[in-house]
Amino acid sequence: MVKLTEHKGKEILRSMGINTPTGDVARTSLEARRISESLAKPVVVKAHVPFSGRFKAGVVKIAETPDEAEKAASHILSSEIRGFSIHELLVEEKVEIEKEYYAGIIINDSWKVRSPVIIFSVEGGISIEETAKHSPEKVSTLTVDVLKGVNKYDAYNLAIRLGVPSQWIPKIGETLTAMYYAFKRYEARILEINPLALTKDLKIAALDCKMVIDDSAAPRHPELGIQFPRDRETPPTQLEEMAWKIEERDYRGTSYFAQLTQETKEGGYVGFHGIGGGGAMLGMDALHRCGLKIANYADTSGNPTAAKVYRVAKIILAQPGIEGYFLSGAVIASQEQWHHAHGLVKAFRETLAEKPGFPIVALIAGNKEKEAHRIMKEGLKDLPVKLEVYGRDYVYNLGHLALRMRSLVEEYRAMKTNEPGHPI
Amino acid sequence: MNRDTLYEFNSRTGRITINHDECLACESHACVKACKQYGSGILKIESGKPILSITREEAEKGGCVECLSCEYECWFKGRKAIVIDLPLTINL
Ligand code: SF4
Ligand code: SF4
Repeated sequence: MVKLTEHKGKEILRSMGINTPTGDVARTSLEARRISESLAKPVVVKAHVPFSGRFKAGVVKIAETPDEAEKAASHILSSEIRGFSIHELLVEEKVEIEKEYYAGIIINDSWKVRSPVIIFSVEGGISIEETAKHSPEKVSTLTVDVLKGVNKYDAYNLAIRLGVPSQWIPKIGETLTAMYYAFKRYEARILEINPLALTKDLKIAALDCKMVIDDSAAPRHPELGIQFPRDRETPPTQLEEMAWKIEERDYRGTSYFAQLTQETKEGGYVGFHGIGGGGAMLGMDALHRCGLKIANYADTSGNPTAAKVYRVAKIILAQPGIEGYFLSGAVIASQEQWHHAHGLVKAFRETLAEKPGFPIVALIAGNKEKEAHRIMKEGLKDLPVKLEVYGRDYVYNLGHLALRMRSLVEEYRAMKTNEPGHPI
Repeated sequence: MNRDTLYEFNSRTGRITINHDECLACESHACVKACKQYGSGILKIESGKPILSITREEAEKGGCVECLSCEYECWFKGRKAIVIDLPLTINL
């Protein structure tokens, strides 16, 4: 999933006819000042980051004059939110608010629903989860039949049910239908306007916008300029960028790679490779429980080619400082596991010939499991690595594999520290 | 290595090179069997050497499914005559 910036999200809303405050993005306090001067009215200066809770974190400020805007901007640019520094600001005209509503659309994945759901609330500006919990009577929802779409009257009913004054109902209904159109057009998973404000000059306007696009839809929307369609709060690392390009340019199967840390000096980190998300989680939990640390999360699934598996394995192995490779392929599914085996063997042979004792613990379960095990064992028998391969009997016993990984990592570390010339 | 005896073709994201000099002395022709079992069965033996049974264009368009098994089997049952080059940066 990829979160669009607030500015980009609002651009989309405007293109759908939804009002938003006028404003622009600034990267310096001087730019913020210029935007404030050109708007010639009080402004709101906000950290342009993909986090909620900005107001509480003190990175949203109101400025009556360009001087104040410049000051607010320099204060925010030198602040942090959730440990991240702030590089961009959104400077927008300040809007006088009469009433705050909430409007959102999400995909409800539950097998009972499996549809977009429109949510409207007469309590805006606070989290919808809170409102739904404490005042469910202030929330109305509509499950959308994707074949029929949303007509205005369905949208009106959402507001009517909550007693919204009748003069605002058409505008709110139009906003909700326009939101649904944007949601569908850009293949979003989430579109949220919070608050959707009734302004003192009697307009309905989106004061904030959170839009999350399905990452597999990103290549279909070059107009969104998404370089790295992954749900990350930090800029991608070099390896993550490489991994994304592999995925982007090869549609056969899926691959994912996220580097969890680049600081692996203190040791105990293993490269992690899952086949299928659920089984991968079991593997990660097991490793954590026995005190190992995971340098990355990776997943190759959906019947990828051996070539794709090879490339992802090479990226995992390119992480400096990792002391082992853990494959968590707890999948009993339709994909033929020999492709994973061929891809891994090629990557290991090219990378590990000079790393005696490097541990590899691999769970490969599923279709063509026996053949995959044979390929792994035969393909690596002349390599100086420590290889252990497990099959379907261990799918529910990943704790054992994690313990084996720990022992092998300890042996490998001991071996390295005893190497002549190696600093102990 | 004699470049004249190198047989090369592109796969969708990489390049496969077979040193036909080695193949003449190979008894297993394991690459062809592997391609049938794990891949798309696009290799055949002609005059003692493995070549494509489809056009190079077809192989590049996806006829070669990049299963990597021909290279693998050749390491262990052949004469290490195949190299599959898969650059990490895919240029399409
Ligand atoms: S297995 Fe190797 S050496 Fe034998 S024919 Fe095939 S490519 Fe040539
Ligand atoms: S990579 Fe697989 S499909 Fe391609 S030629 Fe080799 S064995 Fe055949």
